Amino acid sequence: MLRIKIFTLFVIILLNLNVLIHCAIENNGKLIAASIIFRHGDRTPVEPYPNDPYKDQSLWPAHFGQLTNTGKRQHFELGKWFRARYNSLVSDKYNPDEMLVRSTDMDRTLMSAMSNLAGFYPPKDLDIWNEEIQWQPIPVHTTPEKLDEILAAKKSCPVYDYELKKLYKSPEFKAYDQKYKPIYKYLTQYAGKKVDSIQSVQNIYSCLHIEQIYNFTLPEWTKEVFPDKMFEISGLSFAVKTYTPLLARLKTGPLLKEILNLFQNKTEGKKTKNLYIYSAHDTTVANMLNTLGVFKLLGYHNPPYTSHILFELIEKNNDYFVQVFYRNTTGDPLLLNLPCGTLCPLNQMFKTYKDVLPINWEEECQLSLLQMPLDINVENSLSLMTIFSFIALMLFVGVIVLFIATVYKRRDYLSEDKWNRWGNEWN
Amino acid sequence: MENRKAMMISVTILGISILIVLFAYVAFGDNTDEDMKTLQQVNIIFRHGAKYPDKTYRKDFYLNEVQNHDPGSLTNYGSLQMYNLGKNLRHRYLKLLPQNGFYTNKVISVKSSWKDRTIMSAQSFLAGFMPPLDNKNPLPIPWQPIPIYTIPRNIDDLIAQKRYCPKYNEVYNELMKSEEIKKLDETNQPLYRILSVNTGENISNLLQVELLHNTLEAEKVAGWNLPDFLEGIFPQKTLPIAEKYLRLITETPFMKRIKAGPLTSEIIENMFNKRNNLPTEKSINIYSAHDVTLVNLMNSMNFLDQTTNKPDFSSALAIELHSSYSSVDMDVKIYYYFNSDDKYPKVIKIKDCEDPCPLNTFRKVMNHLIVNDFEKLCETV
Repeated sequence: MLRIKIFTLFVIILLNLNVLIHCAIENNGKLIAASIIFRHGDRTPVEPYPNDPYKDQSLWPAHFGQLTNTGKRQHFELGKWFRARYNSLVSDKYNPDEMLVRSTDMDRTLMSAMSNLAGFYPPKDLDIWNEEIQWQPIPVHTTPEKLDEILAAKKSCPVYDYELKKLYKSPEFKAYDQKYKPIYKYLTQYAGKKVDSIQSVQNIYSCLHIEQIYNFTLPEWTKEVFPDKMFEISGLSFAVKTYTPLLARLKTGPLLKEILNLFQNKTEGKKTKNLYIYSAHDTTVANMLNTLGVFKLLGYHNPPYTSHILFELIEKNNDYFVQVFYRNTTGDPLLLNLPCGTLCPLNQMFKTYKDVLPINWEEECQLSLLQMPLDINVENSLSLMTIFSFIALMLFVGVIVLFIATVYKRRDYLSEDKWNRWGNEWN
Repeated sequence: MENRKAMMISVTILGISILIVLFAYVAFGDNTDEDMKTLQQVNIIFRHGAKYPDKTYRKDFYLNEVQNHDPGSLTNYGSLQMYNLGKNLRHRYLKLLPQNGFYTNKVISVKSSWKDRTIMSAQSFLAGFMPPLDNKNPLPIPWQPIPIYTIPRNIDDLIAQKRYCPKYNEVYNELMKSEEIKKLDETNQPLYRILSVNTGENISNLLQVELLHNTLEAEKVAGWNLPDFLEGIFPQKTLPIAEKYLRLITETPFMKRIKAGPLTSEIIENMFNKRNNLPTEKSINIYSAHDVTLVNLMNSMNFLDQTTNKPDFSSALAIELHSSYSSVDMDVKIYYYFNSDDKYPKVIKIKDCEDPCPLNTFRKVMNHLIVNDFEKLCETV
């Protein structure tokens, strides 16, 4: 009896503590801005593998890679949840000064964003423009992927590509490839396509995972590797793209920088919006978790549909703090313990993540002359020779040109003025 | 005996009346049904719905009102206009829509200029154009999400047509300094003065009148009272100037090519994709645009005189592709909807092309607009 009482007491204390912690955040601080990054909702496989018994389009509720009805519903519900959480930041009536919605340039993310907003912004009173539908148009902005370094992060970045290639050739990843070789071989045999990398395992994993969600009976051979063995590799594939600080800086840095800068602007009283919503992919969410330095602690995994990261800016006695949540279920969000704590001062955020915040992304993406030929011909010693002889030739030509120029200059062939002018132009 | 005769007469009368009705239907019934049979594809370019003014003038009575309403944003009435346009067009293009009522990227493509009002217009249009079927709708509202692709301003040569083009700017500046424009400015001097004094703005050229006209147009549609000094001036005097200015944007062949070329090229490509049954073909291509887009396109395609120099909110141009009974080539037909409720769109006569106009001939007629390398065209010497 006593034991039960103590237990109950313990539970009550725990609960209270929980509430207390919660209240501490709620009472002492005021939420003044937030940014949300979410993954799209339920979709069909992007590309079934060649031996897939379910590769027939007609077995699926939507075209390959498209958002399904379940996905629309998931985001509609999530939109309602966002409304409840961020009601203090965004008024009932749509106001473009309060929020901005960005999406990657793909059907499923655009549609997810729109479904989400349908739940977030049910029209009220004067905004009911049409008695027939309880919905109102809310703009979603998108940029073609090839030009989008911030959200889709698919704009060309040679240094990134170079670094990633280097990573795959590193001893650590060679060891991974060695370790997973039997699985590669096994999958190549059964899936009907060449599987020779972590990424290619992820592609098949994602497909099997979706088929499982849709209650399709998976082929017998999958039992050997799916889900456990493949899960590990698939999870790792989500860490690869931001594995080193440089990779993270060039892949996710622009987005993290944008979010922190927006918060900074808010604290400086500049005109900026209260809520930013980014509609994106599992990779976007995983890359951000990894860039924040918490992905490994959470356990490498595939961020599920509609999983999202919430960045919240808190004002407390004129000081500003950032807290970040991850929510990959329909339950309560998980408060992330960042390297600078769960309630990290905004200026500390800039310091903590200094290494992964690009200063000039465009410039940092340019390969230096030394990297360029190596990148193209790193394994081809013959062309390496060609390149060296080319450089030698260029140097030789340069010396000759310089020599001639000096000779001419001595003859005052070119006036001082002209040299000066050229010099100015080059500056 | 008597009975039988009566029956004979009634049967004959009934028969004849049925025949007359049938004949009349064939003779006078409109040809939309015939069109529906051959329809293969449609490219729709519409102007957004009613908006709040983008900017206002110093002495505007509604100065605060405008500031409170996000200048340039779509009004609720504008949403409704677009929704109605969608419903209206749904009726005509039902055949092209996916059978299960759900969006699929195999059938439809929607692009919008970067502005909130065009994105929102496209959304409202689609709400009317493609509602989900009741028994299959996953959401508690009769609406479905449909992706709309926006084009950032600095690369938009398609819809807003604001992509940087140095050579165009040269030609434009040259044109604005021409004798003709100087003369126009001179003749309009009294009007400029009245407008400047009463608005508190410095109004001294065609563009400024056009901008003011736009503001007033938006305010009028919003149902606001316009000041007295505008009586006899708006729209009577400002409209012709606004129209003139809009036409000037595509005055020369070069200007036509730069402004309307990329969109024309894309639409022609859409139609060829359809005709050749390429995997990228889509039955419905939608472009959510501005009045200037429509004027540029119609002026460059040389049929502006058949429509209107200043398209109304939610007016639409439909460029259709039809299979042909007489040849393997397909035919192009163009219709213009003057507003969202226009039930009988105007049939456009395509100049220098027979009726109906075969796609191959259409391509030749529009050859002067085709753009392959925008940047090269825009290079200055």
